[in-house]
Amino acid sequence: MKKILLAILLCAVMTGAAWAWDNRGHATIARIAERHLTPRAKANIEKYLDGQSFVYYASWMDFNRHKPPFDITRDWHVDYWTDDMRTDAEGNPLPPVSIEQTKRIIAEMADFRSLSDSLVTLNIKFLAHLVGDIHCPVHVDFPTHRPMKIKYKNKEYKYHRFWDGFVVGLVRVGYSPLSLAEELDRADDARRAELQAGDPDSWHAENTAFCEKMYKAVPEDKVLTDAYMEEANNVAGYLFAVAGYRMAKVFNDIFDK
Amino acid sequence: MKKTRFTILATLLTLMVGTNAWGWGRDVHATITYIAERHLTPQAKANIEACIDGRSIVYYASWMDNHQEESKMWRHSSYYDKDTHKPVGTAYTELSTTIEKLGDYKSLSETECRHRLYHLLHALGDFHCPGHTYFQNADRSFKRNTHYNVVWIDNKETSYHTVWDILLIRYLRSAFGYMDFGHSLDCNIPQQYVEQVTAGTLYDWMCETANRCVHIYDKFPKRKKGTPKEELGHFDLDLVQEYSRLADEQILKAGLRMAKVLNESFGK
Amino acid sequence: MKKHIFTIFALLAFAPSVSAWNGALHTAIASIADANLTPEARTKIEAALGDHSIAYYAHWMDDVQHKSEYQHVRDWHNVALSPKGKILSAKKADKSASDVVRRADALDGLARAVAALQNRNNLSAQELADNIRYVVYIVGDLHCPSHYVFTDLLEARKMKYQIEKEKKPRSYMRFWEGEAVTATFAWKNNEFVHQLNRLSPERVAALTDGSVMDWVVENAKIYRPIYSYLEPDQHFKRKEYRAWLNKSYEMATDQIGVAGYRLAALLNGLFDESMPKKSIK
Repeated sequence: MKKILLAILLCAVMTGAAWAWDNRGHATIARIAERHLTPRAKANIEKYLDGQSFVYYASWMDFNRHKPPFDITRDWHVDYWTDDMRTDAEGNPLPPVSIEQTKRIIAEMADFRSLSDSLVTLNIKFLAHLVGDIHCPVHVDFPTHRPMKIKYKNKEYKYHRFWDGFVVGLVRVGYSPLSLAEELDRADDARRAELQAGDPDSWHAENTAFCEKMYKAVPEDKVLTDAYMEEANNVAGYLFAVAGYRMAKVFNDIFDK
Repeated sequence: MKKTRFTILATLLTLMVGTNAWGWGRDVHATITYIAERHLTPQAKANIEACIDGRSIVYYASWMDNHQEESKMWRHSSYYDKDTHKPVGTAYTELSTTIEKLGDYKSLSETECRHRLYHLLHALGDFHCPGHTYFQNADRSFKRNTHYNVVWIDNKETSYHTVWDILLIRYLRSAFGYMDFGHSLDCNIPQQYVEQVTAGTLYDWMCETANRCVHIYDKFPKRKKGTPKEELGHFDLDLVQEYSRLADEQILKAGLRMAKVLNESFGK
Repeated sequence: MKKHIFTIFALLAFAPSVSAWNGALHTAIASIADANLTPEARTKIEAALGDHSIAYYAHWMDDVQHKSEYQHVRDWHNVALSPKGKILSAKKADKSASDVVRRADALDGLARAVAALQNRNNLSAQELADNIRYVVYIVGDLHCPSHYVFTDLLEARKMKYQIEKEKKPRSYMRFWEGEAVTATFAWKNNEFVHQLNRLSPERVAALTDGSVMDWVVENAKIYRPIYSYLEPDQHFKRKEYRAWLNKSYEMATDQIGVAGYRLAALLNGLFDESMPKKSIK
């Protein structure tokens, strides 16, 4: 009995937790984006998804990176998959993979009607995920956080996994992606436009600052305090919202025509 | 009526093994009724809710599972008889009767109307569960000393039935509630698809489910009890995706069809 | 096979209760209240909460009570009542009274929070937010049957029950804090709103009529019978347990909605001039 419950819990917990916001995070971000699609963009997108919402596909990339043909997308979720990929042969710094791919797909979609339907559908699934991932603080390449472990309420977590999967869930109990999206989506039109400004590069810069700030705020004994959790929760809430707004902008720019 | 090559065994697993199992998990039944609710006409919705104290139909999605004592008259297996070419047994006939009776719900007593509704809200969902409607002559019934165990993605042995009822649905969308699920599957479904899916009768829908889902048993044949874990079928992520897609489609169809039945009965 | 059937049963019946209990129900109550706030009340409250809804902070009081600066809230969970359902003051309780009675100070906590909010011009921003969150939490707890401490039923509060094949007995009081609802409905907060925020205006008016103490007295009548649902150290077979759950899930679930409507009435009275004020007594 216990074993099986544990298995279920593990399933639920591990599902999305590796290398991405978890299912709750991605679905929440996608839902916030969906709330700000123009009617024309929404209709155009849903044509490619058989009438389904792209919230449904928010975590699709996480479940499709283990095997061909989509194993090539494995590296796209984070800045750099391995340490040795940060520089080219001459030692020049490489751009972060997640940002490069996001930009490439956006550019490719500029004239989406010239692409095959299946490619457009695929790119929608990519963007519905990647714009979320580039707003996840632990996806920024910040050299030392990867192996770090932290403790919260007497449990040990990997820092990365903790941010991906637990932060919001631990602090806000009882929400679903739909209701969390409604809770976090509070900016008025002017503020939203402000938050939507910029491009993947500037968004990445902002996220890098959050990454650094939250990493440095971890107490020396690696036991997270209530204050840290409250701050982490606020940061995650903000990032969910802006990731959603920016995803909406990306989709509107592409599909509102 | 559509002819099928096989005889069909559509059953609530419950009685076959003589104990109480469940169909889809609660979350799936809630999702199916929620999708149905989204497609009710205002008239049908008002009439139905008047029968159930103003509650949502979602509230009663798993009433049958919760109230097994009160609902045991519906907990019978049924199958398609290959000699007479007629469905026998009560899972199918009872649900047909329920649909028929609800067609003239005003003539039913208050209690019967409620109970028939609870029955429909649950059983039509289970009829679409791939683990619950299958072919008899492929000898896929559960018998002593055989089992349908598989190795789930976490490398643990589990019953194939559990995979279909619960694990598959939860795996990819662990954070979803029934509203998230309903919204995702049924966001902007083309009217043409709705019409195509809801055409036909309960019998057609049962055959379709059996036909669409027969391959899930070919993939994971029945095993003798005590078969070592290594020899059992293993789930990987690809299969989870493929099958959860099938399950999700079944959920959407069940919801749309439930709405059709309810609109026809209560929309007048 | 039986084992697997059992597994399925176990998963369906019990999986929800493994995830957060109680906190989720507080969120549900606050979400229903949120849906019933007047625009004016909501605007003022959300401004005070740093642009968040009351649902966002629904179980906040529970989260902070371990801190020394919030130790005064630790006793704000229960109400004590005489056998006949008369509300007893924890402050005035006899020294010899049981600890659980002397600590049943939820009404006093609520009265203090409401009084503070009535004079909110004197409050700092932090105090304003804290007092709103106290009200949100305590009204929730006042609709949880196990938070009603009847002086003649103190022993019954220790009741436990055992389910077939489980190693440890479960606490009956704890059952009422979560599983009474979640074993049947594992809904998210927006789903609770969808299911429960649908009563007629007349019904809502009747439920929210009277003072907070009137509500408590009325609730006490509904909740007292729960002590007769269970035999001491009752053992359940699986099937029996589900049948037994059916006795109580409807009442427990409906109380989530009732709590939501009443919380909204209280907050509307505090934050919207045009709405009737709710008194404690």
